[in-house]
Amino acid sequence: MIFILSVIFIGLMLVLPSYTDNNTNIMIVSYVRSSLSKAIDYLNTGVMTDDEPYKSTLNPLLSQITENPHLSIKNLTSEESATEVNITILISTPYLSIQNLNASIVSNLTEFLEKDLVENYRFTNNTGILKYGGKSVNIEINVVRG
Amino acid sequence: MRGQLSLDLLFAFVLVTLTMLNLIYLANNEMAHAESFDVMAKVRVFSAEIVDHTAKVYAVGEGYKLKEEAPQISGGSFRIVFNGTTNKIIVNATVDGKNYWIVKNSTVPITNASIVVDSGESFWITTVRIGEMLYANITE
Repeated sequence: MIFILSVIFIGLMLVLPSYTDNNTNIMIVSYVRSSLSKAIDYLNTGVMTDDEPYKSTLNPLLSQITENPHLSIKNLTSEESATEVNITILISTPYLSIQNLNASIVSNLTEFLEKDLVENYRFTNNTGILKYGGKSVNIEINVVRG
Repeated sequence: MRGQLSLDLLFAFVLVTLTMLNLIYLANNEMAHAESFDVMAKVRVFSAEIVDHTAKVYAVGEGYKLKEEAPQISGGSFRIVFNGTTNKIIVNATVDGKNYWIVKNSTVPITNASIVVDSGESFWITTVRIGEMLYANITE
């Protein structure tokens, strides 16, 4: 009986860490993705709100955009290691005038993601390093045309 | 043998619960977003409607007026501002203490006017002649 129990427990000890690790990775990617689509929806709709974190991060950007920018998430890739998750996001727009705002879109969106993930998705932000489940999360955004 | 089976089941159940809880949390978050996004979408459609109808009323000419109705958002009130100096139409909605607003360019000359209406209340888009010029105007 004890032998059988020990086999089960050893099996569990082997399975559980990799399971939770995998789960953390998946949760990080889906949280970032969900927060990102919130931001893109907000920018495409063009209606401002005084609700945080939109007010301080996306409203300054939105005031530079006059029409629907038709932003969309073209690609989202993640690279996972034992201590960190690197997420690369590619956003596309058909307009040159929006693509010219690249620098401010990237900085404002990154700022929004950092605030929103901490506020609504239980991430922690320690001196600029986003963390979730003991892993640091790096987000890189690019805006392209097409 | 029987003990082993139920323990196995128990651990499997823990893993499934873990995944389920995460999913529920995510779904909950999405719901909150969907609710405020619903208001934003309504404000956007409403603002496009006002800009469009302002242009139509102006095109028909003096003496024509059009009745508008504010969208149904429970507990919401709207402030619509015509800014003749910058030629912009601002639609501002307040729902449960939160503000939502959008600034649109008017395609026709407009006066300086602003009105406040509750959800579902009606108001008028009219024209007014000031000197030689015709302007679009908004009244309750």
